[in-house]
Amino acid sequence: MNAVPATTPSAPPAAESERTLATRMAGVAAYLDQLRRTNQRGTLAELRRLRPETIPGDAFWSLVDRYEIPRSEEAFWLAVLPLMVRHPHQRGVRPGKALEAAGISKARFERWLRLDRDAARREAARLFSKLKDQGFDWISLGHALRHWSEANRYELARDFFLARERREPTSTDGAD
Amino acid sequence: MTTIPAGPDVLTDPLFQATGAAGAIIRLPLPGLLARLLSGPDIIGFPGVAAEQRGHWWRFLVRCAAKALHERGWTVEQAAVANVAELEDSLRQALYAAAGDADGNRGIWALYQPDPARPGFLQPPTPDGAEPAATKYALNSASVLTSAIGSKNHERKVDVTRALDPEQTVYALIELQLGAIFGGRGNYPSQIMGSASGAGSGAPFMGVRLGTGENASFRHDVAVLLSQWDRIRGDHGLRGQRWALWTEPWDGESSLPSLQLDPAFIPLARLIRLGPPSTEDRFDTVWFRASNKPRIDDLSEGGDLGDPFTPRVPDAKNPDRLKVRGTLEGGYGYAEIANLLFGTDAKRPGRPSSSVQALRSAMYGGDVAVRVVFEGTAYEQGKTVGFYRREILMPPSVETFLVDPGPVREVHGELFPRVKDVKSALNGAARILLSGAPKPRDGDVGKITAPTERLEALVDRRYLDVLLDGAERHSRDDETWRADWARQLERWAIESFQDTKDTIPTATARRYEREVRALDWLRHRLRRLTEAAGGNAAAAPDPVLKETTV
Repeated sequence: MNAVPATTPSAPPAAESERTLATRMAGVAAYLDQLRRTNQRGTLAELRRLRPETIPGDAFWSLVDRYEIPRSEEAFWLAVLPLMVRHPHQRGVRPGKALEAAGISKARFERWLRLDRDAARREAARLFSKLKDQGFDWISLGHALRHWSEANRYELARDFFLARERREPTSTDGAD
Repeated sequence: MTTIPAGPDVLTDPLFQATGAAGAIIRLPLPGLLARLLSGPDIIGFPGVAAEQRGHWWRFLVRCAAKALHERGWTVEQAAVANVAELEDSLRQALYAAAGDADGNRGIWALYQPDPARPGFLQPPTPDGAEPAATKYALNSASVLTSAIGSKNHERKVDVTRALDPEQTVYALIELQLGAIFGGRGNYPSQIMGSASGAGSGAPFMGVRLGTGENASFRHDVAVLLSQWDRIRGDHGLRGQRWALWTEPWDGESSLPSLQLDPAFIPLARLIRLGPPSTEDRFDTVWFRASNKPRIDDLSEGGDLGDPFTPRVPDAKNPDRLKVRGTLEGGYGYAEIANLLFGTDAKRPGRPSSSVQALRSAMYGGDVAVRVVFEGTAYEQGKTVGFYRREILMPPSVETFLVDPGPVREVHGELFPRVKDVKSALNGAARILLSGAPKPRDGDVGKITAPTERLEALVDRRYLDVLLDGAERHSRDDETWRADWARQLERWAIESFQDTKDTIPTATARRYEREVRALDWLRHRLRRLTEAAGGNAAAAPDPVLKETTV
């Protein structure tokens, strides 16, 4: 008898997994909008109270089930869902620019960028609280908070400081 | 006491290792090696020769072969079809005769010559015919047989006690006599060098390498020297018959005018005699006598004595005269190479060596890979900077542009300044990272060099290809090369900055801000440069600026 090699489902390529994160972010954002529109304050409040160190309630597990959130992403979603409840998704509004427009100081923003991933997720709520209820592009911020790579942080910095650059341009006195 | 006989003999003893095409190493005497290079199966290397000795060794081989063929009245083509064994015998007889020892009885080619009144190989007889120990010779170890000047980085070579086998001794003697620079009073330099000491001194080597073996290149180079024979006599004034300088008595008090030299003369720098070999046939002692004059009074005043491997540039003091361009501290970077090949430096346009200049005929009808080799040891005042070697594969168009370098010079005149502009932009960006502003500040230069060094390395790897491609397009009125170069430089500059920015010290508390500002400033400057060259900016769209699509 010919042996048939057992096949194991291979991990999706990076691009696909990123697409999945973006799709989930968009789906969750739309779901939260729906909750807002239908005035489901209880569920929203439950999600807003989520903390990584506490055991989540039904509202969270319902989202996990609905959007097939993998176990490896649960900590990430526990950290960002309270923020997503507070700040709706607004396509094209760059988080770095929004923070700059809200008057966050350069030093504070730099300090946040230098934090490690878990600390950055923890501190995000405090940092973004300056935006009140203003929305921004969650695909962009979600991607950054999920990976928190040097490139992610540089992108946030670029949005922030280039917006500032327009107000305080660097001298163009040129080099040698 | 037993007297050690003269020997071993360079012309009869199989001293020299050569690697055959199949990888086997054979040993041959000098005429056998020359014959095999001229007409035998391919030799692909000389495993016993050190890197810094290769240029001197090759120059010596070519001069010996050219002299022997000239004496015989043969061309390289005739030698190439000769029987190898017969050719070897013929070359041996010719070399004995050329050195003034037609019957081979005087031991002129012997490494150890016990009779001080007779020459040994590259060792002139003592001036008064007395034993070196009884005259003004000083005893040294064999480590003095080198062209390196002792300094802290080279003590391994010049200070240690060396005991050389006969093959190594030959290479070391050749390196010293053909490559020694002025080493202080009494230590006069060899010939074929533009300056006696300091920057630009030393005997450089700019030759061709045809295919993978040594034979085609050797035949090419010998043919070049033979073809230049009359020109060397006429233009360079080497009208004499003095070929083997070591065979003639020299008291170190006078110089021989270069007029008396043979066009293929074997250079000579120093009065030395080898001590007797040890019981293991190794040489570990050398007698050296200081001289009060150089061996040759170089009437060209710049080492331009018709050597087929020396690139030349106009003499800064007298631009009508050419002088040999030595190896400089920067080695053979793209600007130096472009100038030596095509004379791209408007102030001091280089001239390629005649070996390279003659590439045209070598390439005619052939499809072998053609490389140009640059080699040489760079010196500064009183020290050896280092040995440089660079081998560059030449595109087919080099043939055309060696004959008419005009288009290359025009294109270089635009490509080269752009590199400088881009380096300036990179420096500005690096300074923003360092201190927040692009303006130069005292003492910042050493901290910001990494991006420009990386850019230089990227440019250096591709410059000649880009230059010749640009010249080809320019020749057919396609001027898109300007914009292409600007875009290429823009990409390289961004890449260089990204790769090296972490090496530039910056305030940790402002690192992200400065990186963003520096890169933005750099992109802005580069875009302006690219647009000035008639091209659109090359930088890939930044992912940050892409719209999210969900």
